[in-house]
Amino acid sequence: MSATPPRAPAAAPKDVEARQPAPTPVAFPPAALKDECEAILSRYPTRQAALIPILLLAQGHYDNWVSPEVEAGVAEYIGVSDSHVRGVLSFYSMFNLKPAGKHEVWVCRTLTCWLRGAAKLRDTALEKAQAERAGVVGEDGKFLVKNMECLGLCEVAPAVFVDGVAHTNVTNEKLVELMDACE
Amino acid sequence: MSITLTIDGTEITVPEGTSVWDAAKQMGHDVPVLCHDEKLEPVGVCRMCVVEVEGARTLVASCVRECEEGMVVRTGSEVVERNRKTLTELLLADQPEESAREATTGDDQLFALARQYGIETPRFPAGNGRPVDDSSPVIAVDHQACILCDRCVRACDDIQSNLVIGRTGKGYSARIGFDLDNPMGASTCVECGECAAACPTGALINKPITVAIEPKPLKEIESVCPYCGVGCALTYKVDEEANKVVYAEGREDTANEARLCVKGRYGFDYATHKHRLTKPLIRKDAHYPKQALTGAMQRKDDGTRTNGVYPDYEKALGAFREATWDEALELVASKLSAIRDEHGGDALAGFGSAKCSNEEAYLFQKMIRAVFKTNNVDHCTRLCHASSVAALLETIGSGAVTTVYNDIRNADVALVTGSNATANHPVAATFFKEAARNGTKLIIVNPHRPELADHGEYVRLRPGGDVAFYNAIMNVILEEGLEDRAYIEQYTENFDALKETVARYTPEIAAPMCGIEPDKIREIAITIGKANAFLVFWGMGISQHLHGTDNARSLISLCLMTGNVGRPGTGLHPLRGQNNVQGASDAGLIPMVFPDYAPVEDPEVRAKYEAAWNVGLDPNPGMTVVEIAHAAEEGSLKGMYIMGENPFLSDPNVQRARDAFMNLDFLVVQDIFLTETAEVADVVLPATSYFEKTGTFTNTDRRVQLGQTALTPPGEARLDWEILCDVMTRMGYPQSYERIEDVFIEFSDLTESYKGLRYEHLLGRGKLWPCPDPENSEGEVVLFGDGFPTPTGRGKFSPAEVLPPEEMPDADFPFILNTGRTLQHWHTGSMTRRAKALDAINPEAFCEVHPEDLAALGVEDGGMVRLSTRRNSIRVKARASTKTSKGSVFIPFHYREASANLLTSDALDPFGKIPAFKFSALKVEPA
Repeated sequence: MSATPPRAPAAAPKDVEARQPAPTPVAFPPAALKDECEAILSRYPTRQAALIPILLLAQGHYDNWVSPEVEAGVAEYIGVSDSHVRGVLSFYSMFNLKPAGKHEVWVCRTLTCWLRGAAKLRDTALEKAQAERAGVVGEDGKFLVKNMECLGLCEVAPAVFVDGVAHTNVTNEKLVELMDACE
Repeated sequence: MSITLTIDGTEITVPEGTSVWDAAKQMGHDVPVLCHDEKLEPVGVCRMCVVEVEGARTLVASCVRECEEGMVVRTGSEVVERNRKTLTELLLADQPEESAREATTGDDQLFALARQYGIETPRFPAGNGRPVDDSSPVIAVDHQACILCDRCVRACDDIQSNLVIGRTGKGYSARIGFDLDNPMGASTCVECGECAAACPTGALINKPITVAIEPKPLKEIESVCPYCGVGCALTYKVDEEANKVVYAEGREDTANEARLCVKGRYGFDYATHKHRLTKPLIRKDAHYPKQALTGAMQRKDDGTRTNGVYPDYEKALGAFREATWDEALELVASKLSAIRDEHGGDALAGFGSAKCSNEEAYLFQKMIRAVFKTNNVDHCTRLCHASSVAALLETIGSGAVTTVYNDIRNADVALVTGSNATANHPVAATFFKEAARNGTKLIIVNPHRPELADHGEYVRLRPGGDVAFYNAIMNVILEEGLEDRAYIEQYTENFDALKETVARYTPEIAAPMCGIEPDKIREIAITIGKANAFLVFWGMGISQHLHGTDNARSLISLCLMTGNVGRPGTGLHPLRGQNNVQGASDAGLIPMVFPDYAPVEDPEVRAKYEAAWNVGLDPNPGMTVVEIAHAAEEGSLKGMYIMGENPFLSDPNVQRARDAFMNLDFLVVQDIFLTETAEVADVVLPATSYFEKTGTFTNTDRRVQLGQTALTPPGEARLDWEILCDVMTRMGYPQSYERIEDVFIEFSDLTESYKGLRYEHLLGRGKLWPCPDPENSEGEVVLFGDGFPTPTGRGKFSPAEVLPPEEMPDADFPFILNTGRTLQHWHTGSMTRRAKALDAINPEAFCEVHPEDLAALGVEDGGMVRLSTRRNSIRVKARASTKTSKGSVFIPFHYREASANLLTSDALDPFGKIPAFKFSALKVEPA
C-alpha cells in the first residue's frame, strides 16, 4: 500500500451548542436585475437550465463575485438546492467564490500559449497586480489574475483576456499597456 | 418487447430496457460495481462494471448500457479483468492506508476488490490529500477515502430527498460538498444516515453510539423502530457480550424500503442508559405528603433549566427505597384491591401507552376491565388522534387509515395538512417528497411552515381556520360541478346537509376566517376537484383543536364528495404518532370500547368478553385522559396504574394535572426510567425497554409487525406482560401465559381485524389488517373500494360549522401559541434526551418567534423570553424564524425545563375529548 499522503487540516469542528446558521439568502433578483432575469428564464425550457446565465448576471451585479448569501438567494429563486448551485459555481472558472478584483486578467496556461511564453505573461500580470499568486486578488484590490485552461486561440498564442476581451500575440509590454489602461 | 442476447456464451431473453448488468445478474454473474446500487439510478461513473461487447469500440459500462438484440457480452474476459484491476489500483492509490469502513463494519467494497485482485502497493503516486470532516455528531467524513461514486449524492437527493449533498470543485480537488460546501455538521443535513449506508468506502461512516463498531460477528435482530407510527423495519446489530445495540440498518423489501431517520438509526442507546431502573422502588415514609422532588417539577421553578435534561436522579431516588418484587407487587395489589373494594372500581384508572406492544395493551385493558372493574383506561391516543378517530368512526365506520402512506406514489394530488411530516414522520415524508418529484402535486396547509412546504404548494392557514377553509374548498367544488355525483349517489348519505352547510362558505366569506385569499381557495379547490386520485394526510394540527373532530369531518367530506376513497392513490390517512398508537387502540386501550372498537355498552359485545374473560364487566364507558386527571383533582379517583406514560409532561395544563395526580391515594408507575410522573409514585416497577422484549406493533398503515428481543433487561427489570399478569393474579384474577405469543393469539382471536394472524406471518414486511389469508397475502392495502362498515354501508357526510376557539387572543394575551415536536426528540424526551446523538444535535428548549415580533420585543435571536398564558408561564430561548407567522409562537413540548404544557389549555373537543394543544392565547415578554 502507498504511504498515506499528508492530510490537509480538518474542517472546523462543529460546535453543537451553536450550529452555524445558514447564510441568509439575499432577496434575489434585486429590482435592477428583475427584468433581465425574467428575460433569461423565458429563453430556457426549465428554470434550472437558466442557472449559469443567471449566476453570471448576479456575479456582474454583486462586485464580480458570488457570495454565499447570493448563492443561496439564486438557489431559492431558481428552485434548486444550495449544493447544486455550489457544484456549478465551483466547476466553472469564470465564477468567483471569493471577493474578486475590479478587473480580471485571464492568462492561458495550456500548451501552445505556454510554449509561447505565457508563464512569463502571468508573472508580469501578478507583479503588476501585486498579487501573491494566480486566483488571489491583488493588494489594492484592483486586479484578479487567473490561470485559465485553453482559451481557444492557439493560432495567435499567447492569449490573454482582460475583462472578458480577448487579446492575442500578447507581449509583456502589451500586457502592461492593457493593464495600465484599466481604471 | 423482449430482447435476446448472449452473455458469457449463454443466451438470455430480457425485457427491453434491461441493463447488461441486470441481465448478467439474473444469470448469476456478479459484475463488480462501486457506483451502482440497484436502488439508485445508474450513473456509470466508476467504470468498474465494464464488460466486453463484441463489435464495440471500447469496453462498455454494463450498469448504464441497455441490452440489445443479438449482443454478445463477455463479463470476465482477460481485457475486462485487466481494466478492472488497473482501475482498482488507480482508485486505491489515493486512499488512506487503512479504510475506516474496514475498521468498523468491515465491508469496504474498494478494499475488497483490492484483495480480489491481489493489489498491495499501487504503482501510482498519491495526490496532495483531501481533508477530513468530523463535524457531524453521527457521521465521520473522510474526503480522502471518497471515490466520487455519487452514491451518497443520489441517496440524499433521490431516496431521502434532502438535497444536502452535491459535488464541488473539479479535477483533483473535486469532492462531495454539503450545501455551500459547509462542514457536514454545519449544513442542513438531518442526520438520516442514508449516505453512510450507501457509501462503498470509508468516506462516510457511522460514528459509534454505544460501543465501538468493529468488524466482528454481531447478532442480527430483525425488528421495528421504536419511535413513530411509520414503523420502519430495521435490523439491530447487537454485541451480545456487551449487551448493547452497536448499530441499526434499515431492512430492504419492507414498506420503508430500508430508509430510516435520525431517531431510528442513531437513537437506540437510551435502552442502555445508566438511568435505567433495575429494582422495584417504594416511596419512603419520610417522603409523605408527596412533593415534587426535582427542580423542574417544583411549582416555584419558573422553567429555566435547573437539573439538566432529566430529573436529578440522586435527589429523586433518595425518596425511594429498593424493594423485592414480592414486596412491591404485594403492596400494589393490596392497595389497589382495597380501593376497589372500598370505593368501587371507578375509583381506579389506568393509563397504558402507545409505546407498548399490542400484547401489553391488550393485557393492560384486560387488567383494568376484568380486575379493577372499571372502563377507566385510556392512553396517549386521546392526546393525538382521538378526534380523528371519532370523526372516522362516525362517518365511515372505521378509525384506521383507508390506504398506506406509500400509496402517495399513485396520487395526482396529495394534501398534507396539520402535519410536520419531515420531523414527525420523517420516512413517510421521504415518500411524499419523492412523489412530488415524480409529478404528484403536493398541497401543504399549515399555519407553521413545515420543511415539506419546499416540495409543493404551501398555504399558510390562520390558526384555527381549518373548517372555514375546507368548507370553502367544498363550496367551490360544488359551484364548479367537480363533485363525483355517481360516487355520492352510490356510496354516501346525508349529502344534502353538507351541501346546505358549505353553501354558506363562499371563498369571500371564508377568506377572513382562514387567512387565505379567495382566488387561492378557488385555485386549490379546482386542483383537488379535477384530480383523478386525491389523497389526504393529516396530523395533530387537525386533531388537537377544540374543533378537532370538525376538522377531520371536513377532510372526510372532501374525500367522499370527490369520490376519493377506495381506489389506489386516494383516501384518508391520519398519520399516527406513536409506533403503536394504532395497535393500542385496536387492542382496546380506550375507555368506551373493547378490542376492535366494540362498544362497552353493547350487551352482546360485553357478553362475548365476559365469556372470554370469565368475569362480569362494567357496562359504562370510562373516563378519558383529561377527565381522569380532573377526577383525581376532585378526589373521586383514588388510585392509578400508569404503564409507560408520562402525563407530568404530556398532559395539557400540566400543573393542574400534576397537582391532581399528587392528590391520589395510591399511584403505581411501571416504566424504564424514573420519569417526572414516577417521581410522585408510591411504587415504581422497573419494566423492560422496547429492545428487551418481543411483541407486535401496528403502524400508521395498519401494518402489524413483530419487534424482537435484542437485549437482556438490566438488573431485576421484568417483562411488562409478566408484571401485569402477576398484579392480576395477586388481585384475585389468576393470569399466566406460557409465552408472549399466547397473549397475541388470545387477542387476535377475539377480533375481526387481527383474526388469523400469528407471529410467523409478521416478520419481513408484516401484514396489513384486515388480512384474512395471511399465508398468501400482505393484507388489504386500500380499504372501502365498495362501501363502508357502517350500518347502512354508506359513508355519511357530517357537516361542520366554524366555532370560535375557546380562548381568543386579547390585549393581555395577544399572541397565539402553537405546540409541536422536533425531528430529534420524542414526546416528553425520556427516551431521546437519553440518546447521545439526539441530545447532542438538539440539546435545549426553544421556541420560534417571527423575527419582526422578536425585534419589536427588543429580544435578540437566541435571547430569552417569558411565555405566559392564562394558566402558567415559562422562560425559554427564542429563535427568530419565519416558519411561524407574525403573531404566533411555536414551541416543542419535549423539554422538561421549559414545559410547553404548563401553558396549554385542558379544554376538550366535545366529541374526541382531545385537548386544544394547538391554540392558546399567549403573552410574550423579554426575560
